[in-house]
Amino acid sequence: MHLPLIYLRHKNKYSLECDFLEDLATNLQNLNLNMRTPIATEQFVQILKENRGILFKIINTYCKDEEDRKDLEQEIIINLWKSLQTFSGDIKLSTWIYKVAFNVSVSFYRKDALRKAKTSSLSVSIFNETDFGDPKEDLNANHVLLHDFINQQDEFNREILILYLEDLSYKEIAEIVGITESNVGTKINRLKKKLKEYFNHLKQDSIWN
Amino acid sequence: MELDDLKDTWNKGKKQIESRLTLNERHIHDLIIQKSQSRFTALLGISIIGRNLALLYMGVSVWFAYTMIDELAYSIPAFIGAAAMLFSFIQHRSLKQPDFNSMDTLTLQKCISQFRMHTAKMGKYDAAIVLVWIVTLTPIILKQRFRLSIYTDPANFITFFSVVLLISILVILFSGKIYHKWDAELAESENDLKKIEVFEED
Repeated sequence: MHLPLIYLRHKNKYSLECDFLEDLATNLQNLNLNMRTPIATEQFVQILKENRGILFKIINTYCKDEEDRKDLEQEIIINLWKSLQTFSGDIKLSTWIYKVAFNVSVSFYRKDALRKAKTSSLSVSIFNETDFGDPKEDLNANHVLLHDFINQQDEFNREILILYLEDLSYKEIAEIVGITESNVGTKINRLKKKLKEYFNHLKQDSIWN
Repeated sequence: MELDDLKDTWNKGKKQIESRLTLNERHIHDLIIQKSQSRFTALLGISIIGRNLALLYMGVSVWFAYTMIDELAYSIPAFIGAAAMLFSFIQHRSLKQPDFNSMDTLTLQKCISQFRMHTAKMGKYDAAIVLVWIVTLTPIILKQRFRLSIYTDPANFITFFSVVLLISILVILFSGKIYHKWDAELAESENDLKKIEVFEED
């Protein structure tokens, strides 16, 4: 869905393989529409829709308090929207979303100035949940334990862990986090070892209890 | 249980969340239409505006000093105030907006920690610079706008310097508390930066 946007902004740099998108882009150009038209807004909402699951997970990983969560949601949306204006298309859209979402979440988590400067709370969330029951109830035990394990990690290891679970390559994780590929490998191996110990520890506890 | 075995669990959980989530599109549209500014970016923006205002304040001092260039008792202090503001601008010239889009997580966090360390360190100087600027500019303004001469009228001279003395005493009395706050912020930011460096090297 974002390809026409890229085409409009970088028509000399990118080519489109799909005739439909090319036609759509041409039509938009003919209508003299630019990036900040309602169509771009719709496309932005579509991007958010397609990635609502991971955004929800990242936000909930870094923020436990409900009001803080709404605040973080807003920060992420604003930063995604603003950075869309400078999105060059030289990285994958999903990588761009991870980058912005983690950058904002980690900043928020590290108790930086934005949290201290909080003056009012927002009452509206960007997410509507159709079922307000405890989400954990529907999920299997491993999923709950995995989340508990993630929450035990510091803010940077959480990011690496989530990106790994999202099946990103070491190269992509290195690019988003800002460490070398070999360092990503070392840290993931450590996390694997820690996870094993965590599950072994739980097993032992359940035997004794 | 292996981490790789949990990838499937993770994805199933994500799909399940997606199936029960919809977006509050109206709220998203409202956020975009209002062009709400990110809170952190706004804070940095204020600091950068403050830095640029120092140049404006310098210009004000220079202009007033120039208008009374022959009366050295007025113009020299005003030039000193202008120099102090220039010093402030130079000290803050390294301030830049962090880019949530292009920076990786660690670079961004380093940038934020360094920004906080910078403002905590410079806070002490900034307060003194503003005080110097006000004290050096006030005599000229009083002279030009209100025809009050500080240096030729003993009563005005005593009143002005009594006020300056009083403000200085208050600043000294409260500086301990303010300095303690800045020092605590500085220590916290240094710890944050250290944590990032340790994570990077480990």
